[in-house]
Amino acid sequence: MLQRENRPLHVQADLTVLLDDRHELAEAARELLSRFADLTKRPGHIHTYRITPMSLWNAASAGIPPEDIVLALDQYSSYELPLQVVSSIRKLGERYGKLKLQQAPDSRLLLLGEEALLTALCEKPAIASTLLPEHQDGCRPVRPEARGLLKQELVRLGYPVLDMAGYRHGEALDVELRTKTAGGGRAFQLRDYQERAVNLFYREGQADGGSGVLVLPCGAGKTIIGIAALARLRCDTLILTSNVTSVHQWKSELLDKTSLTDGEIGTYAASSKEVRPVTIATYQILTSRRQKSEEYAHMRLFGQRNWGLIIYDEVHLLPAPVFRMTADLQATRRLGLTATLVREDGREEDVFSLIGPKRFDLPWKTLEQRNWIASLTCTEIRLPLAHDELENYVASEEKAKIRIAGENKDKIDVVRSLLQLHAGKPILVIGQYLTQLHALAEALNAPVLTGEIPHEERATLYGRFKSGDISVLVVSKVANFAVDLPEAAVAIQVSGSYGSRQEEAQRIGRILRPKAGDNEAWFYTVVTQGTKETEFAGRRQLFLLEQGYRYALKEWSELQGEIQTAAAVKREAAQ
Amino acid sequence: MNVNDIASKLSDEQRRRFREQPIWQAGQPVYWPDTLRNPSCLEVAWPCLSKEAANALALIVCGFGPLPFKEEQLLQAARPGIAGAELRLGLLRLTEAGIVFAVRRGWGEKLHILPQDSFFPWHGTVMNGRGYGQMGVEGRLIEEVDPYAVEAVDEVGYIPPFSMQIVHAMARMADAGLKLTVKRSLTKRTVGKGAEQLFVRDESLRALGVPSEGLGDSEYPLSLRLMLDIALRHGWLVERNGAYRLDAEAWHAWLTQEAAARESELLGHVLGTIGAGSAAAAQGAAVLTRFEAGKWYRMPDAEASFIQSQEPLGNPLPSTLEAWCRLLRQFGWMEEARDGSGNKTFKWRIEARRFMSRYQGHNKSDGIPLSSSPEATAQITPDGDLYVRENCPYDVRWQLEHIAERRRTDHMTVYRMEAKSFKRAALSGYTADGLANEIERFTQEPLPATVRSMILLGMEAHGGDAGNSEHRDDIGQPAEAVRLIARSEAGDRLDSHALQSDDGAYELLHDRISVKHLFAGIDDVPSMWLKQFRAYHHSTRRELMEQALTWRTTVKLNCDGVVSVFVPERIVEEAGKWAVAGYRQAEVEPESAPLKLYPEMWDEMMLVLPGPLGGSQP
Repeated sequence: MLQRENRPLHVQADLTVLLDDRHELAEAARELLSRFADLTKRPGHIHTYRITPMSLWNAASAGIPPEDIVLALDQYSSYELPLQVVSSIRKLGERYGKLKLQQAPDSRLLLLGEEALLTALCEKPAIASTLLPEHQDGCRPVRPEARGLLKQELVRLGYPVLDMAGYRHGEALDVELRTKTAGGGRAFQLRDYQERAVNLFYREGQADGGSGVLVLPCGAGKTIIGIAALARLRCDTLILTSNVTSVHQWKSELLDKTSLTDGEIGTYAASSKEVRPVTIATYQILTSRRQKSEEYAHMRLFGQRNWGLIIYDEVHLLPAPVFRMTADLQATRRLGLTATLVREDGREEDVFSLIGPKRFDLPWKTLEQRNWIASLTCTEIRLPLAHDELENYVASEEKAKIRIAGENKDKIDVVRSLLQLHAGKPILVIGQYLTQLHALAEALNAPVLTGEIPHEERATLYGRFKSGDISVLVVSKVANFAVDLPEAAVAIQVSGSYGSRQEEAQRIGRILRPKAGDNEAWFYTVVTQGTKETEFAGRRQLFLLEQGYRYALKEWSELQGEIQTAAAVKREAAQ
Repeated sequence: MNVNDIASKLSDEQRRRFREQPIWQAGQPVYWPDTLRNPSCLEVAWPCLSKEAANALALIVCGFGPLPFKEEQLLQAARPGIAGAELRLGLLRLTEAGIVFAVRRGWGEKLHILPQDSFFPWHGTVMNGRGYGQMGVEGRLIEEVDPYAVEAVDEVGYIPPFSMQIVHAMARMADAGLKLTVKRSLTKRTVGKGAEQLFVRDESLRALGVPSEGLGDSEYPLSLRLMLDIALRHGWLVERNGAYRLDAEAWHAWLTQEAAARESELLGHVLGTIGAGSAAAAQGAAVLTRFEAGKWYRMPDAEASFIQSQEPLGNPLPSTLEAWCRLLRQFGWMEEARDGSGNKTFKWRIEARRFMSRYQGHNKSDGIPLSSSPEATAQITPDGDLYVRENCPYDVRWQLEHIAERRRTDHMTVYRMEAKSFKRAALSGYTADGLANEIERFTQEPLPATVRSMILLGMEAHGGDAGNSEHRDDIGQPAEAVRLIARSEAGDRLDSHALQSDDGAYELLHDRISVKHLFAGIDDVPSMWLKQFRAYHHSTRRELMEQALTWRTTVKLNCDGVVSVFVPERIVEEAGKWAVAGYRQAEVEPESAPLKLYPEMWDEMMLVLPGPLGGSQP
């Protein structure tokens, strides 16, 4: 068919854009593309972006009109742009700004837009139910409590709303960022991309500023950004996160990086129910109830103080009931933090309408290139199943097979060798099965941290690991989420949850903090070859492959000699 | 009947006679019958045609296309003011020149035809020669539409070109099995698998007159019948032992044909096949092929062009342009959109006129030439996705259809190896190493370790099944199977799944008729009727008029001092008086209103015969 000269982009009719990373114009194309398309994966040389209504509206909110997007694509596309793509970009992009929510001088909430559009949309029952009866041309008064629901429904119909109705400030809070950390007296300031992220969220002087989602990889310092936003807004803040350890980490960071005192920070999780000017809670506690027929008693936390800001940490995990609650909180500023906007339940639209548009996005590889996260080497090591377990494996059912493969006792030798290779570096050994973890801990003479251990003890172990008192920590999946172990440079995964990509990414995230010196990190995944485990390993790796990381595949029989030699060389050098 | 079909039925002497016709001399070194398909030769031949021949040819091309017609139909089709004698003379001249041929089917009437593959070249020549199609709506020049001013009419995504649809359908059908049932049809499953790869809809074909019934293939969707017809005509499929088999040589030759030529041949076949069944469809196709590829045009302008092409006809054919655009889009050859004013617009994705230029020896490629190595056309990523560009060689694409699952069909098609495809690859005789090597051959790069591992794992589960293919009976030799069916002794080619009636039953007629023969009894008619412009008695006037009607010729009249040429249509008797109804000659007065002339309304008169028998002119 009609083609043009070879250029780096291939624009598909379904609004997917493929970027050939090897092309000399790839960088320039990427720079433009990232402004209006979401990177969904980048394995190898072909990077996949997707233009979605959300990405177009996010671009529009950043001041990029549809025509510019079409021109940019056309400039770098290796063939004529599909007609559907041009039409869709125009049609969707031009909708941004057509509808606005504003507050009238008499404090009424008004939906503004062209009358023909309003008439068409307001005929839908879901929209009509959010409105008050009387109206004029180009204007519809909205029930204040339906502000969130209206935005949700309009986005579902394909119409974004500029929410310029402003926010209530919430209770004022005297807080500022420290210039030196409370803990170690180290100089502290935001990194340039963190500063930018906060600025883009706050959007000073703009009526639609103060709500949105920031997307940054694990290890990029999302917590710091959240804290900086809090300090910028200086108001009572509710922080929601995914687990208790993370709650404690938030508190620890707040105390270390801001002028807040312990009495101003409350934790609302597990046995603790402190409601203070800055309160940190888990999604789990908010959505807990004894029986399905009961209400979510802890949701009242949303109304217990005059919050000026709600921070949704790991917003991609936001449970449905919290979405519903958030719909009623549209007059409060909302900040979402995440490493990925992709949700398993496909509710990205709700994140857009109820939390806010994506204000900032920074790919993993970009951070790595700028040394803000460690440079990562991923290796899959394969070894045969221990001889005496073969018979048992063959005779077992599928589920049991996975466990037998995962708990392959010969893995201990692999771990031991890797510990020798990376002697002196802080190392996490991560696994799925408690029996295995305990066996490893004993064999390696290392402490083990699992869900069985009380939170206080966990915190102690984390502290010792951070301080260097222990260099090897064996951990279960409790360490998957939002645990700050910046010094960890090596992670050795001995077993995992089936094919969970999220888990793989989260585990790797533990070792991505920038390190002193060569700023390198290593991730090993040890799998039993010839079993289901290798298949699941392949699936688990997809997320990182999609982010541009490569896994080296090594047979243990080949690698064993190499590691031992390398370890010996290191020992000699050290002596 | 095509040019070659006709030429093969002629004697050497007859071919020589046609070759020596004066109108073909300027086309040398191309000789008749090749001149009939060569637009350049036709362009230089057109001015050499007599006025009568040109008029008749324009009427045939624009009114009948490649469909057979009777002489009387030709006379009836002309617009008022054109004398039947001129058309009859013109038809005679065209037959003498070897442009139109007289045929008979069985014991039926004598018919005339324009060879099917000369229709499109002649149509272009006539349109250019007559100045048809230059102007669009409201007499404005036809202009292309700004590509940024058009918008999509629907959400339909990428439609691959028909050649690619064929590759996909053939792969799925081969995979499902090509065994024939007792009714000599493919199984429902195979039919379903093939049809779901085709974007062409039956209703779109029917809208252009393609009949639903034919040759016992009513189980097949029309689109699949079209495809099988092509496959059988080209020899890609042969019937053997109760099944179809892919002929490796023929199929490979087509797969490795130059892309633009391959596509244009398909286009030519489709246009010719559908046009052979309907004059209106033939006209619509011919008008549309005059528009350049890669540019957007408004439908009203194309319709205006179509209307102009109908100028020689008394009753214009209905327009089929919209139906064609809809169908051509489904073939992946055209795009449709709307402009800012709501007008439908269309754009060719391929050079539509290219299938004619092959007769001029053109080998111009309309896109990026196929690379001799597939390096630039397929890439694999560590997560196992295979990306294949639109210009990927079809032999590579064919292999991919068998060793991977097609996840997305688009400008860049995405394949992925999965359990099903590993099984297929194993059945085709691949080992893990062989498969990995094949993919490396396509991508011209070492495989990522993760992909090699994926292949190993995937093939492990199926490595032992290579000997148990249930397809083996359908697709021939083991281990070669779908990849390359070894060519054995030529299988019988099944009657094609022709969409139109078989035209092989026409008998070519070779009778040579003289001009005088057109005017029966000319020797018995007073010569002054033909040579002298004079007044006659009323009764003689009627005799002259009746003679004109018999000969379907014109009459020169002097009405109140104004001399004009009149085309009589019939004698009208009213209240004991007679009159003659007809039109002024269209050549002089194209929009003449019908006239009824009483004998006292003119003075001098004479019969005017066309061509060499004609007398003095006004």
